[in-house]
Amino acid sequence: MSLTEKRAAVIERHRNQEQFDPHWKGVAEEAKKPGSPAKLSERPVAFVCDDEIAVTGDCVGKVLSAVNKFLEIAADKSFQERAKSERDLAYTLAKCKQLTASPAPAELRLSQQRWNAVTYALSVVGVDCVLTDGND
Amino acid sequence: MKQYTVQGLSASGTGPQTAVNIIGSTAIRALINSLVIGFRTNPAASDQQVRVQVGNTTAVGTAGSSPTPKPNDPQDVAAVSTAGIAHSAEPTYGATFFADIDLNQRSSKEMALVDGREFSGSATASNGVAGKMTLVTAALVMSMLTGWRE
Repeated sequence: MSLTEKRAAVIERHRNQEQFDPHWKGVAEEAKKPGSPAKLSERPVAFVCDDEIAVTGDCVGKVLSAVNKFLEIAADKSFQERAKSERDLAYTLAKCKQLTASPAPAELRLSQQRWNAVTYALSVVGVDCVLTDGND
Repeated sequence: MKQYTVQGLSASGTGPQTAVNIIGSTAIRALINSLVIGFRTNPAASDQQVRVQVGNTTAVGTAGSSPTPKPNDPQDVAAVSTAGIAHSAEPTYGATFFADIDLNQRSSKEMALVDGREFSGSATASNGVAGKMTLVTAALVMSMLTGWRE
């Protein structure tokens, strides 16, 4: 099964669960974050592959627009004083920006270490990802 | 080696529900040396037994979100291990566990493991160490603070 098909299956499963069981609309604490989609089915899906994390389909767009939003916030000097591991973060996000420049990337693959920098950026703008298996 | 921390909640349910899964890679494995397990259901009205299991995982399942591990020293680089919390599809656990314990819903449990006696993942992609609650009567949310070296 391709990652695109797996992503569709994950979203479909979450839609079904949300329809019948309100608990699946997300853990209450998570759903309270401003900008965070309460529903799991609306979150970007990320796949754990061999030593890297992949996002595919329009989840790439969701991740990249959140990264761009983070970079706008990070341009503020007071924020830069708070950000940790800035060089690592800047390098990772620059790579994401390069991918944005290529015509409609269908897939975004990042090493696990870089993925943690991306999730940091995403959490700052209130976006949570669904992490799932990529190899089964 | 650097030290990292992640805190997470399970989805609400009667179990099995995983709170936190720390996922390694072929390059690195997490050595879990600190755990604080509790239950966030408010009010803690049910005086019930909760079985908690901490063990190795061989597939990551589907996590509701993937929080960024926090370095205990803010000057350290980002963790290589990734984390999953609030799972909608459970990770695959091994047949045996590092810890298989029973707690009251109103209690909490802290484990601090000395160097050389940590709960360790294997250096394999998508393998990790995770904690879940299982076999409860009334639905609840498990919380778990997890600290590790890598």
